[in-house]
Amino acid sequence: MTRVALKGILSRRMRTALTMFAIVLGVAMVAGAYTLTDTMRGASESLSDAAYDGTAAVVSHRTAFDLKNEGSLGSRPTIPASTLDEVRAVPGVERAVGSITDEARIVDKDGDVIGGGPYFGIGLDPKAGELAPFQLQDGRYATAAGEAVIDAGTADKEGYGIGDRITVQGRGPERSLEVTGIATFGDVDSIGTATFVLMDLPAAQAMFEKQGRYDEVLVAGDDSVRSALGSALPGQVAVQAAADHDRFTLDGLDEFVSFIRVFLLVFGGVAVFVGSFTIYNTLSITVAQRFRELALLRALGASRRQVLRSVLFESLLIGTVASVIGLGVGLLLAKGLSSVFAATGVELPETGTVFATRTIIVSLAVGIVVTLVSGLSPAIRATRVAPVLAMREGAEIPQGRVGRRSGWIAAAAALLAATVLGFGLYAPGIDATGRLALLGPGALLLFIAVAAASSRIVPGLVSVLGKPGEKIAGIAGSLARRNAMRNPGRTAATAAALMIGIALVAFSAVLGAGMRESTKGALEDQVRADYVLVGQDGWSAIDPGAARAAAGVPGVRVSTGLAQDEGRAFGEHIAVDGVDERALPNVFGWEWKEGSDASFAGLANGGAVVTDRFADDHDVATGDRIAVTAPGGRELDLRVVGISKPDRFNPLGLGQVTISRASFDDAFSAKRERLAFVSGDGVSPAALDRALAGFPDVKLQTKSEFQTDQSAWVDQILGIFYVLLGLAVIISLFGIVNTLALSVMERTRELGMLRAFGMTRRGVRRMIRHESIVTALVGATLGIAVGLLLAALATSALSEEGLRFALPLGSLVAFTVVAAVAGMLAAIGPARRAARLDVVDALGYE
Amino acid sequence: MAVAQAPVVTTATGNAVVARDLVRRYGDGDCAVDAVAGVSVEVPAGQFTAVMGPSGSGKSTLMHLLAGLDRPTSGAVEIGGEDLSGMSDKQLTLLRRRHIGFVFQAFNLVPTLTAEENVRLPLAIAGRRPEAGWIDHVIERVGLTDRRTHRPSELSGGQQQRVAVARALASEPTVLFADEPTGNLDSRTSAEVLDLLRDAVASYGQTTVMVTHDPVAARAADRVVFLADGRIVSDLYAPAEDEILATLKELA
Repeated sequence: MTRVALKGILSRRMRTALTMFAIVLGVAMVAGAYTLTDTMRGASESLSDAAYDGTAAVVSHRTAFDLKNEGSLGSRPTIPASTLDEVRAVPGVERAVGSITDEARIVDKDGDVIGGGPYFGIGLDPKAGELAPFQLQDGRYATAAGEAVIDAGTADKEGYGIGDRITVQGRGPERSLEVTGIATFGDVDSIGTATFVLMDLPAAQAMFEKQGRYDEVLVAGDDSVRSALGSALPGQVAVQAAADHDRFTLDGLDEFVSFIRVFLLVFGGVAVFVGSFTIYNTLSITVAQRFRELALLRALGASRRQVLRSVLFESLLIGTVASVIGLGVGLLLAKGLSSVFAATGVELPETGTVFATRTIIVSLAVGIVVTLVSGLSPAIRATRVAPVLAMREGAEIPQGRVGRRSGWIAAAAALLAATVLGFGLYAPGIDATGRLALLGPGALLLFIAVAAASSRIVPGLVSVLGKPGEKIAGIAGSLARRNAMRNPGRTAATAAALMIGIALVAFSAVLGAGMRESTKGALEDQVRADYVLVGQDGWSAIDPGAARAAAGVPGVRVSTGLAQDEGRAFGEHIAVDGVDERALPNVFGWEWKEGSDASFAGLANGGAVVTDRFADDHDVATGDRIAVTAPGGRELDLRVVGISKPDRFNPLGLGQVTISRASFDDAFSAKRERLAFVSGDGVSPAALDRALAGFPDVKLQTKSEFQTDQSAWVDQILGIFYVLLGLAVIISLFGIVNTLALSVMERTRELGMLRAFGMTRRGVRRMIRHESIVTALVGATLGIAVGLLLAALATSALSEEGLRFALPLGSLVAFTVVAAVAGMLAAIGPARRAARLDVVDALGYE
Repeated sequence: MAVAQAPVVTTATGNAVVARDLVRRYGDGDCAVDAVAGVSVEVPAGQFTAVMGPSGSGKSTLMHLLAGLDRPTSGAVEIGGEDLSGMSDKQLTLLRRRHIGFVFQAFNLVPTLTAEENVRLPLAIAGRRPEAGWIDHVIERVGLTDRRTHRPSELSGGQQQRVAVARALASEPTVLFADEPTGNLDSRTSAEVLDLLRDAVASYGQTTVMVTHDPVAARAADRVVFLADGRIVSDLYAPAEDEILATLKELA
């Protein structure tokens, strides 16, 4: 029986290859996800080793609470330089150096910032030795003001060499530095989108306005030095292990890698899920077409068990070979994905490719198990073939148990889906993340329900969707429409695979459009300024000098920034905004629950405006006093002067508490501004541009540009989603090719008759093509319907976050067109084969 | 009786199909086999011709050649005055639309179409609109007026073949080719189908060429052409059944 299975696979090479393809892609995605993220994690670990291994302790200013966004805003206060002497006096300290870790951007010749952050600007004591994570590749360390060492990646990309002058922006306007050396971070060649500039310590202190102060003191010694330091030093400094202090925010990188892994594995799962439909469908058709052969085997004495084993062996073989190929393709895919991310501006740090045993085991297991499970139902069906069928002309295989019970399966899956989705959306006490997490299994169940029900929906749908084809292609279209209805189960399973891909694409598109709308709407309400100054990337904090520079431009009435830092109130982590209470109402504002724009004036004397949600959560009313702690430990006693009612959707990430800029600067150490607003009469944009020329990290945008730009990330994410979901769509296309090819084979004699009666080859091609298009359109229609439903549910789950529902009609139409075109492409092979049939041979075909 | 070559009457007009020195060779070199080895035949318009012969005598191949489904290795075929030599596949296809109807042994109805839609199929393929009432008339003629909305799977074999006859007649072809039309039918339904074919010849002057190995079927024809080893060995007009049987016996 093994022989029969083997021969079977060999004689159906094309079909086997197409089936394998579905598994290959799914497995490749899983293997690729692991390989890519393992490689990234490897890089992240080498970075971490290089950065922290030689350092036994880091002494820095104690923070009142754990900072969440350290680095991006510079929340941690500095320590006085005298701390270094105190540290050196502690026994067990082998060596200690002061260090500055801040932000400095390298600017290219066109005035654009190089890289995508983080932009490390580092003050390095040349005596740091192993306390510094850097390895000089070329040249020497900077020893004077005006000198800098840059990272090898930037030097490579931009062609900078020793002696070249580069433009660097730290605090204040940009300045020109001479490259004295090129270094790597440990032995890691590429640090992704990050860049670094190493300067002499006094030069860095000057650049970042930290004269006489350090961000941290790095200590060499053995691990026990930490407790010695802890007891010897005053209470306002913290002593931490280097990795805990994490001055290069590598934890963030690790989190990002974990996120990417889950993200890619989800898409891998989608691909595998779609692939299982294709496998199921192909094996079902194979069994249906082989029923005479199977009956013959049974008549010759093969037991049901042997038939079952023979068919399962076939799936096992297909699954194994395909999984092994998929593993190989996954390695290539890892590189491909890396370029996809790079193309969208998310370049990832890399060292050597990491190909873990776990990757091999998981990928093979996923591929083989999914194939076997998908092949189980067809295999069981094969055992039901009665021996007598071998003798009977025109007999058909009886419908399997699954086929007869698809209605019940659909109902059960739909009920389960409704339960999971209903619970996820409406059960109390679940946060937004939880609600979205429950959407996943809910969606999976919904897909199964629709797929199981689709054999019932398909005839009606085909009947409608096939109509235009009938008008366009006449009899060919009409025959195609009926052919698509001929075996509803088959068309349904084929279309269901496409449905999943399209549903997820539509879901993403609708949510994306919602985000865009919500962002635009929220900003429309809040921004009253003519111009907005933001970071080049749209979210990075900007130099406060930019708003001051813009204020000097003729015609500008108001130019004011919004500073932001982390704080703590009522035992919770919050964001605190510092604003100029006189300037802000002219350029920025919100609805009020209690108070009015005039309430801003109250900020001046220790007043605070809080959001309605914050007020509700902590039972705060106007006139109440609240306590807010700054990272440095300062405690602010604030009086609530107004309760704002900002748009629930918070694209700018505005803080729960707004205070005056004066109080803010007094208590918080964040020097950079989240963004700034500019308004005036007859302001020339060119003049503003000139004024801001020294601030390459700052982008000047009109209000409408700002609105659009703030949602640009949505398109970026959607782009990545479309590429990854494209894989699932491609897999389902192979399913269409497979089904069509089999149908052509089955209908050979009919095709011969049509040709005899005068249908041209072109007519035949057209007929097959239209059938394919109709099938694809069925998938697209079901997919868009399911996608819309899921998106509507997700939007409602997120309604508390102010997400609006928006229908991207253009995109949905585009997906439908893409599906139709894909159907056309899928039909090319089978149509050609059908058209090529020799009429006489086809008529005599058994 | 003597097996004599029938006199070939050459007329420029009045012939639906003319074949001259047809040869159809399969394979080449030593293995070459001539399925049709030099056949010249004329089928006058309005004639019901049966082609008989033992298995492998080349009767099906000859029919394929005459119907423009296959190309001869040498020789020429004319249908309705059009010479098929040198026609492209597309030209042949269009010629079949204009001139030819088929009835197959296996019926070959499209299972997704109703009886009436199957009858309309050749006209639909040709993009032709039938005259008002014509299709109704044809369907009535084959006695399936009450079955017109049924699918092939809901019809008996005899009914299916009657649909196939109606389909072949619908486009008013120059020649109707029937390939073993009674091969899958019992004797009673066979007789019905033969009556229909006979009736079409009588009523519309439908030129018909039928390949069969059934002497009963052949008796319905005006003329029976006997083939053996790819050649015409006998050409009888309105032969009696025992005459047909005797000829076949001689060929076997």
